[in-house]
Amino acid sequence: MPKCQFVDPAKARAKGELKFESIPLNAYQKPFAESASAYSETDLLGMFHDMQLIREFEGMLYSVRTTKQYNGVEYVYTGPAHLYSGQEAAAVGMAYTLSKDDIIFGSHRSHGEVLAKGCAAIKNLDEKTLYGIMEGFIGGAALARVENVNKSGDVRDLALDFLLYGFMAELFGRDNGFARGLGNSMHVFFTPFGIYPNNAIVGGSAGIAAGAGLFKRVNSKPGMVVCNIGDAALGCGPVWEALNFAAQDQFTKLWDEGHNGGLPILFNFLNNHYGMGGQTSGETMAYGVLARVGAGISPTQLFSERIDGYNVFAVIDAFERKRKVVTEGNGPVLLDTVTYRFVGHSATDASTYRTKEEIEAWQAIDSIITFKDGLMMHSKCEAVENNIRERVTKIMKLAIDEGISPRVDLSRNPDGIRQYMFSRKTVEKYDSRTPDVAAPIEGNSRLAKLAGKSRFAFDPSGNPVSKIKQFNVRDALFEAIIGKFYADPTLIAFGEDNRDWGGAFGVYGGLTESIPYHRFFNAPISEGTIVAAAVGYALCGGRAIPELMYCDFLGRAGDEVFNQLSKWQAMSAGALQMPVVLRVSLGSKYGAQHAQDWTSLAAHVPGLSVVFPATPYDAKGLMNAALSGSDPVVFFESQKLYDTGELFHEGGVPAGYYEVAIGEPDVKRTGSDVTILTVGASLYAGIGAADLLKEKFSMSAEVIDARSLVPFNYEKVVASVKKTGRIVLVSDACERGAHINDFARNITELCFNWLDAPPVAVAAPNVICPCPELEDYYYPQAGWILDAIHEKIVPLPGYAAKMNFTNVEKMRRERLGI
Amino acid sequence: MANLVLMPQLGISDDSAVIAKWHIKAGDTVKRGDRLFSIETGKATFDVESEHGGTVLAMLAEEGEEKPVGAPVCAIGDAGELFEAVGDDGLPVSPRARALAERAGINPKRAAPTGPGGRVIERDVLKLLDNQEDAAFCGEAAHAKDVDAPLGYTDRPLSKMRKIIAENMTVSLRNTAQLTHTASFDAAAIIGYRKLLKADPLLSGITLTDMVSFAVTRTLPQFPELNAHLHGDTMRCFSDVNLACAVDTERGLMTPVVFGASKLTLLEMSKQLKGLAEACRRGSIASELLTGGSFTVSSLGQFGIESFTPILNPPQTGILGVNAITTRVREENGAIKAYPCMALSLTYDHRAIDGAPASKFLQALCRNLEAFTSLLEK
Repeated sequence: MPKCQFVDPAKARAKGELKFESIPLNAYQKPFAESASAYSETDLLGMFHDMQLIREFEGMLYSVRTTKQYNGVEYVYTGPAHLYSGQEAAAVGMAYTLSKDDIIFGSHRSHGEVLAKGCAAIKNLDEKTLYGIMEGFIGGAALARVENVNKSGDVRDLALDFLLYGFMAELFGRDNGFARGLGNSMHVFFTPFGIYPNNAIVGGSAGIAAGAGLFKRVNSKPGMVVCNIGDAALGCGPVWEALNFAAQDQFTKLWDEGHNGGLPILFNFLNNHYGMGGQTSGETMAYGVLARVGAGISPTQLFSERIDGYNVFAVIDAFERKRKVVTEGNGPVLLDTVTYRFVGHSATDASTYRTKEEIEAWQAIDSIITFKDGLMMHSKCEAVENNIRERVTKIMKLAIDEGISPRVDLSRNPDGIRQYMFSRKTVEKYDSRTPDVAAPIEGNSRLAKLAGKSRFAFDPSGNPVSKIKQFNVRDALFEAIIGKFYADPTLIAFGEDNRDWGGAFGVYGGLTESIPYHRFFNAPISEGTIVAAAVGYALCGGRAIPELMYCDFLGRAGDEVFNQLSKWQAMSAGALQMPVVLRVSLGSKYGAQHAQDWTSLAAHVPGLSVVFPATPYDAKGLMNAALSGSDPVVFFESQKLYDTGELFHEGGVPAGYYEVAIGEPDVKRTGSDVTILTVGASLYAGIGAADLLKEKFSMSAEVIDARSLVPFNYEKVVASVKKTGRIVLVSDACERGAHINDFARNITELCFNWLDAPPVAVAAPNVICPCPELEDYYYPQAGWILDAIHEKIVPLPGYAAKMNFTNVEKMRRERLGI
Repeated sequence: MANLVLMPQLGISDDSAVIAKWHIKAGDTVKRGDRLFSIETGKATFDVESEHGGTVLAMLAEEGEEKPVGAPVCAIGDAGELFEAVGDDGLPVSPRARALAERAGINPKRAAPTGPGGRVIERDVLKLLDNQEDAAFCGEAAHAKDVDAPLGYTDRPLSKMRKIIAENMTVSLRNTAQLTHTASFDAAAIIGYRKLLKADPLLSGITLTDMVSFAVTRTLPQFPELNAHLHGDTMRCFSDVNLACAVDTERGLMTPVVFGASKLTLLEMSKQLKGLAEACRRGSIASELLTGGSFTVSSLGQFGIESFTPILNPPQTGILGVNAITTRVREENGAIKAYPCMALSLTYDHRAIDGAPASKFLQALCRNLEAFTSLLEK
């Protein structure tokens, strides 16, 4: 809500008519000879080569998948095979125009794009760089294998073998594959060649590509981003979010000079007319012509066009024209690239949803045959064909050889996959340039205000400081984040209502005056793309703090958090880093859809660090640690605690820089009779219970604040349970599947012989969160902890439990699923 | 929470008891202190009172039925409340309690459970360990006849009682560093005083052992390490003397406790000891009076024993054996003179107290007994 732009009621209510520009359909109609005349014979044969290479490669895969052999070489392949056969011209036309600075993202059906862009990179890179890239990949292991079978002395020829080998080894799950065989067919990529992750989630690349475009815009990097996704991806909400995100008005209207302009992205919809078996135009979609969609996104209509993806020259023409649009700062662009796949969605698809005639009609105009016929260089083309067949056979033999290309040995190295789940680097900044800021940090008015606040909740004589004067959790987060903005020039933060509002809960208040628009901006209400954009931004080498205003909106970003943010480090076998701190605020007082603690969902998915500080000291220290790492951290904050001052850390919250190690719980109070392990805001219920136990039953409780859910060092908890023999675990999450149950199970295993009672979980009931007046029946209270101790651990003399924690009641509730 | 009423443990050797009579039925409303049922242990009949108020939810044993100690016999709670049943054998023991019991070499099932649903938890085993002295003193007059054994011997399985004693004795010897010192004193003063008391019908019941016990209670406070429990790294020194005293009954030895013994007069102590001994012999001794002693006195003097090595009752750190009175001679101003001599055998835990201070206690005790009338004045 920038005040510089006036929302004029007269304008908004004025009568008028919205006009659309017409959208060109297959405007390129030059005859073959005329088109070809603009290219050298080498170029034309190169195009033929690249298309034929894709055809042969996919033929090989189809053959091993269905007949267990290729060209007489036997191999059993059972993995995915979403083949590119039929779509080759679209990939080769695109790649022909791309420079080494351009990057592509793809889908489950992107083998052709990988090969085409790979071949283009091999042509575009100088030999020294090319050789260096090959040498640098897994210590030259893959290069050594291909050098054994390629003595040509030609670096580019060697590189082609390298590309095929890295790709095939990945397909067949070998340690020398581009992702050490951990990615497979749908996720093949190799960033040194500008090939960024292909995504097995339909449309998954759209938001990530938006983030990559953002990276280029914010950090003034050359080149453009091509997002290759299918027509059916337009049935996915996150794709629409991504189109809008990439085309936001603010890039051209509000971002500061030098950093403004539309994002340099080309959304290339490879329109093969089917989403699995669903016919898009005519059955499952409403657009009629896919290119129409651009007109619904922005006044530029995203420069949308339909182009003939069966004509390599038409594709080249379109990409060259659209590059100009993007370079001039008018992106993003949408292309409806018409194509057709000859084979089914996958090897198991019998194409029952389309007719033989339809397939034959498209095969009759097969882009490769048409191209070859047009070239009229049959013997040269046949030589290319033979050469490719020989090469594919040679590399295939290499890639399936157990001795030359073994799989990751998970018996001898059980951490073969675990080692890639986190990159665990300490990176102060992702670029050495001076950060773009609006003013020196010293002049920040919020920081000046904080200087007058008390950094401990009590004054030196032990009296509580008034709430308004306490340095609180909100201030602690601000202090850590603004500090990082001045240290890491790549750091950006965005989310809903971040800028002038200061974040819905005031964490960012005062940041707008110091940090310019292009590093700190409001995002549309597009939780999916807020996270996906951060993923794309990080994949390209920057650090981001996306924000979800309420934890309840995590569902809206489900794929982006659970499949993208969490997985790309491991799916790249450590090639990529993901320095993203996803701030997620847990609500209260706003009922069932604005008050849920979903920390357990995040903790369940491998690859995410999950933290939930409950004090200003921990909030600042953990934020600093999260912002100095290279891993994705889901950073949960509680709206119940933003106003909370520091009650525990002696000496209060340090003004200087410090880190609290992620994964280390903290003993907030020592005791000997029972351990209370709390997650997040439930720390204060735990402390309340400890007070009651002491006061009424002379029991001394040890209260441990988990601080992190993943990773988690059990040492302090184990030591505590060995001492007390008893533990209650507390969380505001709903009980069923709450992460404290995971803690409880592990503690049972780790401390079984020391336990005097089963670990007991005290969590929110398996119901909706009611109105604020009834929240005390939803979030665990201090009294519930006593009830649980009384019923399940050790009866408290003369105590009458208020809540029913008996086993009989538990059985009843579980039986009813409540 | 519904409360399960469990079959109580009356004597240390009881594994089970019979419900002699129910005083309640399902659906009755009971309050704390109401009689619930009577039980027979073979030695006596006792009434069990309710520790909870509420509605009787279920009867889990019938009249005449024998139930193991610790088994649930009825449930009391809010009307209509559901509760979790526990089987007779399924009395749960927490892993921590089990581990502790294993380390101490005792059976955790003997502990009176205080955890939820009748679970034996750590504190119950700790209490059981505290009570070891009682078990250690329990003897059993199991004298089975085996005269007709064809091979010259018979294999006789140990009774549960015998097993408990064997276990406790072994634990005591294995887990402590005990040794015995013996010293003697001139018993003329206590014999003389006893003669005086005999003349008074009110005081005639006071015995020599009572007097030795009295002297012990007056001497111990200067030696806190001997009036103590040793638990691992901690010594619990008692501010008062809770004197356990071995009593011979036909079922075996029992050790009732006189609590707060150092504040009692000789007469009060004598009366209490007598009362406790009678209750033991009658079989009506309350189980809480059989545990909690801080030091034990055991007398074998009546059997003419002149010296013995009493075995400690851990976690207590000392036990005094009272021996028979013998006549000894000594030189007095160049003349040989006979005098009545009583020997005292102190077994102490060297982990808790060294030899010199333990000897000083014995020496002080002897001096106090030799000057018994002065001690009474103090």
